[in-house]
Amino acid sequence: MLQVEDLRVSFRTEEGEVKAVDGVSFSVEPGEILAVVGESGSGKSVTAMTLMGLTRSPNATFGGTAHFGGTELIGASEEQLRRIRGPEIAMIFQNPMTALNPVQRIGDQIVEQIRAHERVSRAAATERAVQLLARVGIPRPRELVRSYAHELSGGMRQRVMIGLALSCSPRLIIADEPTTALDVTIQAQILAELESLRADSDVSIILITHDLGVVSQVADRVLVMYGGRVVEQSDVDDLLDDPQHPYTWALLASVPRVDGEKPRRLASIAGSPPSLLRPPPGCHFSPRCPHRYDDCSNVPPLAAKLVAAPRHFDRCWLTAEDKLRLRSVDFERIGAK
Amino acid sequence: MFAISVFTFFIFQVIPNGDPALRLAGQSATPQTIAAIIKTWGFDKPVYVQYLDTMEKIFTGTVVSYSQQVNVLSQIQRGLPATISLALGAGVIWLFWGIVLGASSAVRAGRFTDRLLGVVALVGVSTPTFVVGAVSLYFFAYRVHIFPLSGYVPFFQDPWEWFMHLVLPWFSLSVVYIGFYSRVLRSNMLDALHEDFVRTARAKGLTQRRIWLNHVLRTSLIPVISLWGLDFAAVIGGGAILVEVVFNLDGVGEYAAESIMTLDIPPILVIVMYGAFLVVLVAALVDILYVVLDPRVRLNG
Amino acid sequence: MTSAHPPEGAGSQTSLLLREGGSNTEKTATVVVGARAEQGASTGNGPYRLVLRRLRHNHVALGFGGLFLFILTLCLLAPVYARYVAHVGPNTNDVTGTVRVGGHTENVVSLTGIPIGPTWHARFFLGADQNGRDVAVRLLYGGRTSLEIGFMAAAITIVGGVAIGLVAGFYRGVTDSVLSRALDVIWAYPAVLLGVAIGTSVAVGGGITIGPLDIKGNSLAIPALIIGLVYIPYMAKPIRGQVLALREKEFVDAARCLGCSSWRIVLSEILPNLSSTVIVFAPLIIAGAILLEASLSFLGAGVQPPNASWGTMIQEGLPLLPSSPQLVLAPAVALVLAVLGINVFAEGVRDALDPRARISLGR
Repeated sequence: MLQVEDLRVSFRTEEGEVKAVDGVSFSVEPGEILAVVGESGSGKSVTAMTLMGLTRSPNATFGGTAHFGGTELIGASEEQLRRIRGPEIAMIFQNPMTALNPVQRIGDQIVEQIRAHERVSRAAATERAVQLLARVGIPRPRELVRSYAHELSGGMRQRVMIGLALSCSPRLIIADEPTTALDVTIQAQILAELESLRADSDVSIILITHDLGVVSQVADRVLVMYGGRVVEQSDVDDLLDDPQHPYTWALLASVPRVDGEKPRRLASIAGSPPSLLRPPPGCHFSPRCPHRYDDCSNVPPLAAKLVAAPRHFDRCWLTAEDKLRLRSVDFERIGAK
Repeated sequence: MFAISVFTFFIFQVIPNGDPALRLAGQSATPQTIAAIIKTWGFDKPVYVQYLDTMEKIFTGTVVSYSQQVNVLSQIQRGLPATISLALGAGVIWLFWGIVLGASSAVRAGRFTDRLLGVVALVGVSTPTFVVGAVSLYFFAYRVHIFPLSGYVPFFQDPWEWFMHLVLPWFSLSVVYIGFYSRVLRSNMLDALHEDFVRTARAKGLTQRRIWLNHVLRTSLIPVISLWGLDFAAVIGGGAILVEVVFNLDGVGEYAAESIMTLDIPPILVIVMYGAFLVVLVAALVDILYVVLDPRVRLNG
Repeated sequence: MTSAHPPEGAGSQTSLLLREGGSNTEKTATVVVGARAEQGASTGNGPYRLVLRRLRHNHVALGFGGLFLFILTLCLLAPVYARYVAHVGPNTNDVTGTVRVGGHTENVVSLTGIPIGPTWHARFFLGADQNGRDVAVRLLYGGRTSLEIGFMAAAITIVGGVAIGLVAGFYRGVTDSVLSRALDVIWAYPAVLLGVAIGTSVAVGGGITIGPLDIKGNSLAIPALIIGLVYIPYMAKPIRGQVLALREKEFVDAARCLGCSSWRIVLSEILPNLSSTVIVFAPLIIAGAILLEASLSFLGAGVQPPNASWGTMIQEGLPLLPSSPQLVLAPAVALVLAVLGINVFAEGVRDALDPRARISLGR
């Protein structure tokens, strides 16, 4: 349904050119939840926003293609994109505190979107807004449709955002860290809400997160991004059972687990994320990688290396055998698995 | 309010050197007037009594100017129609053009239109009202006889003449504010542009026009409108003094200016105090208005 | 990664500058660059270097700043012009005199009372006023007065505003409420009206006596003092707000933990962080002060005759506007150009410091 090929996004800044997204390829099938994982600055949000044309600016340049249905998103005109935003692709943002207009009633914000894409009366659109609010679990939707964002709790606001995203029945929802700004108990509710969406309809979801816990709960497939590049991509079970890239290992090691044996300590990744202004040559992770060797100064290809899992790609020069050996040592040392 | 009255009182009665009675009497006062002044204003009494007396006079409207021996309040009332006509017209003009120019500048941010409007706005802000007044008077009234030279014609006497006499004053008074408001609105809008909810609006597939009007402009207008309330009050409360002098409008401001020229203190005292009161009152009104305009304020009081 | 907010704390100034790439152009996605400390260091030595570099590229701002400096220089050279070019002082009356223009002699002030227009010669370059005084000479002297008062007033405002803002913001509580109320009182008056009120009052009294200090009624210090006072709230309020925010910052807590005294914290931790605000406000206040001086003098409540200032010159020229527009136009143009020069330069500085800042001097 969505096919992204070699997506490149760079921003011209006063300091120089920043390659925020550097050759990212992936696809999303109908009804699939694809998780995009990575730390701050890995390019995951820029990738997602670029699909909707939200990163367009005089300082930005784009490369590659993104086919959605029959439309090429990267080169699309602003008007074409406008028609796609909402009825085709909808977006849920990270911070529900600021993502809703503070001086407009939440009902009106939903009505506004419906009426931007469909010729319906205001009353009919309002009725739909009430139903959407009820569907995403807002109590007393008929009253709250007239409330302002600041009158609702954070979890409620994110539900409103989800309702807003659903209002024109999109085929793809991009959720950009939808739970990061919320309390842990609310996070679970919002995730459950997203899952039920997929169960109800065959909407696809791109879930952007840095939380592997979230990934393991809801995702079908995972894209791990680092420094603007995809470093590993596979089905979620494969990734959790048999991670291939040293960065993924480190990421997994830094997640606390309540099941299994008691961990000795949580690992942190030494060093800091690469500057995309002056990225390190070759593999972006190499400066922080405990297993780097000479080959790492060249960019490794994103390739499937496991015979048993042809849809499991990674971007590392190490051979599968090396990885198995190094990873066991690694896990032994950090006690994560 | 109390503090303002005390402060104003002090400006006139305490700061300056010399005998206050002499000052109130003006330069060509006879000993008899001075004695009378000392009696009526109570300069032989302690300061706090003087203050209370003065306040009483001001609020009962019985202050009398000494150069012309007329009641100050009635003079002010006589000047109010002109001042209010001036302020209302100018207020509408500067709010309208401030919004139009500020918004078009923000929409074209960084491009030629924006730069041009920026320079125009800065010229406006850099030009005092009386300079605009004098220059426009010279070109549009003396050189080309489009507009009458000066003076004020009451609306009910002749609406057309009223209008023609006020066009240049309105324009002169508005220029500074248009420049200032357009810059404030522009920067408010550019700030709003970076807000998350504007990004949401774009993600909703709204048209550019709707994003700008409904999301960017609307939130940016709130502070501008409250600013307008305050400036409008300031203009009525005497801020129009410069334009009134240039165009001989015979309003409250010109009355104050005449009093300055003749060093006639009581009218200035009263006008300054009323002006400041008006600003404080309007500031309170603006606070109330804010609650209506911005739902966020409602909860936090 | 987009919309990353700069870390709170000591580094916020730098991150603020780094956050916004590009020039004045709108930018939808902000990008965090140079997350590693060593790379941040390689791009410049502190935030002001970046500011200066931005400013150097802003030719418009520099040009107008230069224009202001040019006017300032001319005005400072007023005595030189008066002495060696026009051979006449600013207050020299010459109602009955004559001047040779283009081979024939003309009265400086005609029999009907209309002064001579611009001769474009050394003598009466811009014509004369109704007292037969040389307009060009008076323009320069008047400019000197206006600019001197502008700078003096701005100095008073900045020192007073920063001091009050610091004290109110740092001590909070009762001190803050008292000072804030006082500021509100001054702020409630329309600026021109307050200036006029004090100015007239002082003019009538013939000067001010503050303790041992006795200032004469026609001294330039009086308008400067009045204007400085009127503008103090516009400076003190934002400073107070910033101090209130700064004192909660981690680095102030750190200093407090180290046992620094209050004054030490104020002077060495908070004051330096206010510098960008002061830098942005200073030119705006100078511009505002020059404008207010002109307004007050125009109304007769500022510079007292026979001293010239641009404001008094416009006032004196107004009655002769139909016949001798140069009397009004010359000082008006000079005034607008000088203030415009400062304002454009100020805007350049503001853009360079933080392209998204919104600071303005109201009313």
